[in-house]
Amino acid sequence: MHELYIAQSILDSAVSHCLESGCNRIESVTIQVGLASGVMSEALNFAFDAIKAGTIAETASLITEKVAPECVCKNCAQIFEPTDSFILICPECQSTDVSITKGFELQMLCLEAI
Amino acid sequence: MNIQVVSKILEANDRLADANARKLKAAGVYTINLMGAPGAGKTSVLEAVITKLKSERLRVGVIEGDITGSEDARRIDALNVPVVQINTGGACHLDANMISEVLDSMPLDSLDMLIIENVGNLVCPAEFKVGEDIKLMVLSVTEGDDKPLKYPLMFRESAALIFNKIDLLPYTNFNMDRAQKDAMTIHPEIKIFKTSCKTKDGVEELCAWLKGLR
Ligand SMILES: [Zn+2]
Repeated sequence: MHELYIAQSILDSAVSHCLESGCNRIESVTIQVGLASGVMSEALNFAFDAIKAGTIAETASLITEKVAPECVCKNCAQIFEPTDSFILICPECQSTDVSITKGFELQMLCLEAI
Repeated sequence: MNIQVVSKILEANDRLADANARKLKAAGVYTINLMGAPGAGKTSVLEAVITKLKSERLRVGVIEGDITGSEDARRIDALNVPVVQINTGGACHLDANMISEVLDSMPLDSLDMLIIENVGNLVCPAEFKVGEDIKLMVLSVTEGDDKPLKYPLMFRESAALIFNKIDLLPYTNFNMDRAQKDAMTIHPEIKIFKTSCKTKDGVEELCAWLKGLR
C-alpha cells in the first residue's frame, strides 16, 4: 500500500501550492500516472478520499490522467504501444530492439482552487 | 483559479533522500538499495557478499528493512558487521525519512559501503529513493521469467539484476534467455549477475563488480 504514502504526498503538495496562490479551498487535483509505474489509481483514489477529510481539500476530487506505455523501435523508429501482456515487438519491422519511452510517469499536473 | 504545478509527486521524499546521500557521500560511504520479492534470497545474497567483501577488508554496514521482526538483522549480525533494523510497521517499502532516522546510529566514518535491504516487494520500493548510489535487485529463478514485464519499474530503476538460486534452474521452467532479454528491453544498460548462494557460483563476479563501484 504505497498508495497511501503517495496520496499523502499529493495532498501535502496540493495544500501548499493552494495556500501559496492565496486560495483556501481545493476543488480538484490533476495527476498523471503511467500504467507501468506500479501505482494503482483505484487504491490512490481510495487513499486520497480517506485522508482529505478535515483539510482544505475536503471536497476535492483527484483526477487521474493515465498514460499508456509507449515504445520506440530502435531499428526503424516506429512508435507503438505494447500489447496488454507487454509484448515488445515492433509491428513495422518485427524487431525486438525497442525501448519503453512512456508509462512510468508519476507527477502532479495542476489543481483547481478558490 | 487553475494552478499549474507540474512536479514529481514524490518530491518531498526525493529531497530527504538527497540529504541522506550528501551525508553518506561526505563520510565516504557507497550506498546500495537492495530490492526484491519476499523469498528471492536478498539476505542470503547479502550474507555471501559480506563474507567475501569482509575477507577483502572492505568495511560494510547494513540497514535491514522489514515489516516486522528482526530475523534478517540477526543473520547479518552473526557476520560481525554493523547492522540496524528498521521495522516499517506495515509499510511495504522503506522511505528516505526512515533511513534518515537511523543513519546517525551507523558508524558511517568507519564504513566503506552501506547496503540497505529493502522490504520484500517488487512494486513499491522502486518508487522511493532513500539516498542510495545505486539500486540492485534480486530475482530468484523460482519466481518465474515473466517478472520483468510484470514489474517493469523495478527493472528500469536497478543498475544491476541478480538472478539468484541458479542451482535450482534444472528444476524450474524458468527461461533465462527470455528473462534476460525482457530485462534488457526495459533497461538496456542493466548489469546482469547469476548467483547461487548455496554453491557460491557468481558471488565472486558480483563482489568484484561491487568493489569496483566505489
Ligand atoms: Zn521497427
